[in-house]
Amino acid sequence: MIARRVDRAKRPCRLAPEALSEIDQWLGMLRKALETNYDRLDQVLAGMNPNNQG
Amino acid sequence: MKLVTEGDRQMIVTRRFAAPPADVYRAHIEPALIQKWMLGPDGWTMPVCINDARPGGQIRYEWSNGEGGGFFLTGEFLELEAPRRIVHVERMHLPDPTPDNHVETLFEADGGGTLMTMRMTVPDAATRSMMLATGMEKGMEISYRRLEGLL
Repeated sequence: MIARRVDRAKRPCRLAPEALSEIDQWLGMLRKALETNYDRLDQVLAGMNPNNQG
Repeated sequence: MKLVTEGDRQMIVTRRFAAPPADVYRAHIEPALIQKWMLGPDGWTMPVCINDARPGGQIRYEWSNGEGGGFFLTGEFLELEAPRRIVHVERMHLPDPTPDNHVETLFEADGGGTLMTMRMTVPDAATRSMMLATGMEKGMEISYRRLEGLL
């Protein structure tokens, strides 16, 4: 995620935005899939115990 | 829900539920309950759910999109401590198996509810990079296309 180049005595670094965005994109997809699942699980749990306000 | 990465091999999910740990634990090991919620995107179902919840017991989940597309997951239980902890390994078959994902799931009492913490550990950074490059939904698409190629 860090792009390096050599510039005489300097070693400049910058964050590679394309790498960050790939991880963010994937985490976003996983987060969405898990959130959908856990929202369904809330309903399942509410049905298991009628005293719970899911 | 919170999803974070830790180091280069771990992903950690935390989520609170308005039900006691015993119920949330049950919903993670009883097939009839798992089939109601562990479905991913809308439109998918889990026609096969084998979940032999004891150390060494087998796991097999098969998902279907109802249009001939699908994929499956296999795994084994390592440790179960009802109602607070489950440790298992799992792998997706797309159809080639992905490297093992080691999953520890904790259920802690939190007021009247439960705080769940799921820690996923893959064998190495390259595996997580591969997961980052493929992803679950892309995996479904790939699996679907591969299946179409076979028909």
